[in-house]
Amino acid sequence: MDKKLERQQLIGFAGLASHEEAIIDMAQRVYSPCLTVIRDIVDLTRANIIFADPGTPEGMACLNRSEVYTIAVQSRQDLMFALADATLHRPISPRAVLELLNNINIEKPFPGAHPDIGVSRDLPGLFRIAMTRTRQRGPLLLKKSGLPVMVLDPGRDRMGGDFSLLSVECFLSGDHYTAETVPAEDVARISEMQIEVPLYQCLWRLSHDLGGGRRLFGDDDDAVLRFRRWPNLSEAGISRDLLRAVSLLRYGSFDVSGACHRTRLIETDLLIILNAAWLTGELELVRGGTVPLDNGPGRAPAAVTASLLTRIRNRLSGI
Amino acid sequence: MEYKILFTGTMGAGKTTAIEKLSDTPPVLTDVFNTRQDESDKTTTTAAFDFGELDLGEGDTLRLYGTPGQERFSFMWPILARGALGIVYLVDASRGSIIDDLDEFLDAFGEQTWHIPSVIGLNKCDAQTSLSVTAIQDYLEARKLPWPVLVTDVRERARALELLEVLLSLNEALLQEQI
Repeated sequence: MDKKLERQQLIGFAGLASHEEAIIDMAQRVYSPCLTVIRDIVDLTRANIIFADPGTPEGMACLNRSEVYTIAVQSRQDLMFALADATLHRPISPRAVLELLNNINIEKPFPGAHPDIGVSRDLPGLFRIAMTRTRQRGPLLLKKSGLPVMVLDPGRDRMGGDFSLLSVECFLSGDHYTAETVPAEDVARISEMQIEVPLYQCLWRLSHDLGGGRRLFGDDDDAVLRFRRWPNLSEAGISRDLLRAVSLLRYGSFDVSGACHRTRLIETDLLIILNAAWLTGELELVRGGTVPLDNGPGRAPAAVTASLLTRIRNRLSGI
Repeated sequence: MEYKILFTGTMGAGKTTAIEKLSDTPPVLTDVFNTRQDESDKTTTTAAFDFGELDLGEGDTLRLYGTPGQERFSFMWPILARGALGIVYLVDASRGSIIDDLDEFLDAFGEQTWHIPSVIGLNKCDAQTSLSVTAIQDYLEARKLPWPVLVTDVRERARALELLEVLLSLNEALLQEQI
């Protein structure tokens, strides 16, 4: 297939359960080295590869479209849907998604991809936007006064460009930058001209450098914080005290002073985690209304007591 | 009283090593010749289960169990998990199938064990670690399992201890909620 056409392929979903969409999205990233192309996931109006459930009106409508490549998502027992270009069986296995994506052979014309409209924010805000773009994980090009200064590519965990912008002074200057998605070939060209570093590692180092001196998520007393999910600590190198703090805070909402009280940590230590998780999009601010309760980790066995946990900790620490 | 923590994962994921590093007595191993060289090039594998233990004093013991890695023993896993303080799912990052591996283990343990505080330990990592962690996070989120994912190297006791610290902290968080 023509490489140019491959880069214009966009995936959409019709009638799939959210966890099925997530598995397809995730399979692209975990198996990215094995894929010939990583495709953006977009809304149905822009998609030209559609995973559709024939059992839903929305899915059926898509499967009847001839100008797009369609994949019927159905049970193994169901008859193959004749109009679909391919079939993916439920329950969806990431490995099956990989094989299917690598076997897509499209001879239909594609509508062109539309770049995102640029947004303007300070650097912490743009980093957070880049990390939370779950549906479109293409790279972001950051510009200042119209000139490119940095590329953020969460899909590859890479960033490149002018690293002097990552000094605490520049990062917190409040200067505004614009961000826009760019075609993959342009990013590759830009990336070739600059040194790249792991993005996640950079965000954690930034948070360490900030040293708990400032709350990146603001000082709104009416808002509470909550972890959207357990933060990715792979590049963090944090102490067991901080690991414990994340565990204690992960499943509820909190304000900073309450979090310090609960974890018995001082604010400057705690902010290293909170600021990093804010930049990575894993911490969110909830203003007003009821904070939805997350699924907790479950329930402690009946025999567990605080003193038992202390004894185990002491024993493991050789105390 | 006896308490237990389970270590599970594919053959070669590091279960036996983790238990060896954490146990304060030489662990009891039940290795046999590995008949599934296609799954792992280890010459031996765990047939029943490994276990190590820590004497907590006052007559209490913490047992660390390693499940047998081969799938034909999977019927044992949920039985072993009953009443556990936590489960460590070790994932071998050097295999090309981390999500599929985890998927098989979660299904084999079954929904009735998912309420047990659990942590995913990504072992044998390389330069693409962050992306693998993100992929596992996304997968867990899709399955509505809010478990931590930690990068580990169970050959180092301090790193293996981090996994247990998270399990203890999760239990602590649950206790705080009950108060």
